[in-house]
Amino acid sequence: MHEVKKQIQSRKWSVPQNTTLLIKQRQDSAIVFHSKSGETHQLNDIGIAALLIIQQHPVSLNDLADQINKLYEVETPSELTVRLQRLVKDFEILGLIEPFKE
Amino acid sequence: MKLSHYSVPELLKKASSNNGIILLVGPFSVRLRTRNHQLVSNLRDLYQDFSTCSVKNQIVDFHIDMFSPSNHRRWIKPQINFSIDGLFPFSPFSVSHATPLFEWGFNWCIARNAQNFLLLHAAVLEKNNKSLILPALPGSGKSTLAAALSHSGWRFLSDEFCIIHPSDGKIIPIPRPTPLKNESIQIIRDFSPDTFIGPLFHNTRKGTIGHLRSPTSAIEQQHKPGTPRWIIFPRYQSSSKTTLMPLDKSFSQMKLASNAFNYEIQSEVGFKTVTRMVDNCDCYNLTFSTLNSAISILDTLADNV
Amino acid sequence: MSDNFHSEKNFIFNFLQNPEISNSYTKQQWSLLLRIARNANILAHIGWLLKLKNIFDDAPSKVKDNINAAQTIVEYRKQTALWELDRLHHALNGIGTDIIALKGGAYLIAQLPFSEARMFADIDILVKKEKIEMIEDMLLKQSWKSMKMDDYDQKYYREWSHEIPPLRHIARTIEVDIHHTIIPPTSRLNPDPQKLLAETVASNENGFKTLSSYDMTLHSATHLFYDSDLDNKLKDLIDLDQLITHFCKKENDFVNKLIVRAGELDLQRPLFYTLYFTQKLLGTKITANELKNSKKISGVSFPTVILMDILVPLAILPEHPDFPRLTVRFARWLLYIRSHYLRMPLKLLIPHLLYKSKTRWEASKSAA
Repeated sequence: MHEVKKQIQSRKWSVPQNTTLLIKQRQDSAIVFHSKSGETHQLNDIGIAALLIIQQHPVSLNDLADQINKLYEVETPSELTVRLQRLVKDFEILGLIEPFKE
Repeated sequence: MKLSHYSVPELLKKASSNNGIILLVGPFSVRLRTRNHQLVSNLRDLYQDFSTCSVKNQIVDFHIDMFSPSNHRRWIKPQINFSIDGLFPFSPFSVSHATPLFEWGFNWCIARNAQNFLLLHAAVLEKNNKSLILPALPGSGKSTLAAALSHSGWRFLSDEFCIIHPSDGKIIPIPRPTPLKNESIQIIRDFSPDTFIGPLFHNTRKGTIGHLRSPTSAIEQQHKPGTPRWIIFPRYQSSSKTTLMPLDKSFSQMKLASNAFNYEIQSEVGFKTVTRMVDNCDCYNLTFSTLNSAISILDTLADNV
Repeated sequence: MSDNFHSEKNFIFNFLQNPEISNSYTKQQWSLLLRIARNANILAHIGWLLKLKNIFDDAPSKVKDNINAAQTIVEYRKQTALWELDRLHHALNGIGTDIIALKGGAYLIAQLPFSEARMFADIDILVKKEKIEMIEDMLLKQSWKSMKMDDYDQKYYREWSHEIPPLRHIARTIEVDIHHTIIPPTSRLNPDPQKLLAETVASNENGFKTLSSYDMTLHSATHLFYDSDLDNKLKDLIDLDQLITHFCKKENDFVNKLIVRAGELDLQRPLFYTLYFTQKLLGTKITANELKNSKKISGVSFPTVILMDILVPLAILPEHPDFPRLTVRFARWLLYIRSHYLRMPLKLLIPHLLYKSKTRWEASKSAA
């Protein structure tokens, strides 16, 4: 069980090839247009920060939590990881990100 | 040539012919064919300041036919159909409701075909060369407020569709008659006794409807585009204090996108157009209980620019 | 031109064969072209033809506006289709069997030029018969739903035509039709699916395959002439003209090889009708010899050709919206019966037609 959990947290995520994200950022939130799906999403500050990090280069859940913590320093690391896990799952369902194939 | 140049019998003769009547309304051209005397008479009153021309001089966007059904409903509890190029988007209406059917059908044609524009479900008014967009929500009082503003020094651009040209973000006016519902009819009659409201139609799917003719000046200026400046979500609430509350822009952008008729179809262009609009506009919620207080607060907004 | 369309019966065909004819169009002719093209779902295609001939910019601004509107809808449908294919690939990842995109989806994946301005409807995919249940299962578990329909339709699909009802993802509106043959299994023609699957072509897109150029063309031919009633199907005939014209440029002796392949799949008849009518109505470059060959091996009798020669143009030609003709309605009705006769054995046909006309009559009664 612990092994599976470790696996999930070390799996890397990336934005699929040929994906265009149009982003309008305003202060604490952003509107994202996903060209492949034609869908529009509103994200809060952590959501857009996470998406932009994943867009830059493939990243694991743990690394993502570290980088977000450096930017915001607002939550305890374990709470943030749980929150990011949910966020990453939502992003995957929406087709914004996918597991990175090395 | 304005529609008012022709008498009702002349227009009925044209409408009954194969070539129909051509109506030029905002960015659209309509060919209407019908034999219904009441409809032609009502439309002559409501669209009197709009232009008509010969079918030879105009490429037509919507070919609209309004004829009786060919079955027994031609005679017994008579009905009338709305069709465009052989398509019948609605069930037949009672023949006495031909005018509201024409107006709803015209809306249907625009929403379905005019995909070269971004179409918001909103009223548009203009003052000091700046446009105010009032997105529609059921019971918001949008049409009543827009009608009152159009008789209080604001130019009337549209009641139902805020038509945006994606290339430059400008608003294309379409100052068609405003369908006032139920209590709004008397409210506007009281507010502006000189205005023309057409015959009342009872028991429609939206209750009682009367169509308000748009000011002549609005129609004379219909070729002058509008520049968006304020996006204001109106909400009529009786006995409330009239307040204008600034709105978060991201929230406004999502709300505006969901308000549009064709945001998804416009895809990337739709996103860019709405983003630009919200960037260029101040966004507010307006709660109001009287027309005068709402107009006063909006006048102040317009004059402070 | 007079406003009487019947003196210009070939109005739309004249345009399609030679778009430059529109340089001398009156406003009324443009209005008519826009109406007919929009009704036939080919308005964006008209724009594409004008652009190919470099005369789009010279067209009146109202024409450009209407065409741009149609192209916007086409772009939206294309995006919806490609996204659905993406999501299907994602959902069926690692399934270990080939999935072949058919019709519009295939034209998009293969990036055929005319697919740029082609109005798209639903997704059709082809898989091995024994894999269908597993695929349907996997999709139902990932938020696709079987289209709601009455018990009769479910029975029609599963038992009689041996197909499954279309699927649709709960968050989207596009339908996905999963096939194991390219023509309903109960029909009189039975092209062997194994032969089709043996010739499939890999694509760059999403792991989907497509049929070979010959089979893609034959599928479209069979779909039009054996699986449809030809009612307002000018768009499908245009697809065939575009497919043949495109592949003739890419491959040597395409039409003759197409005729040979039709023989292997027992699809000689639909191919003959395709070559005959694309050449006759749209000016597709088919030689007299090729036509003769195709007719010979199809075994179509002379009286049948005469009859189809009368019915097909009537049915396929978009009507002038102001002057609908009874002859056209009659021709379409005859071809409707024909298409069902070809699609199912007689013992199923009569009850099916009776049931369908009863439900149609009840629906029209309640609307009145």
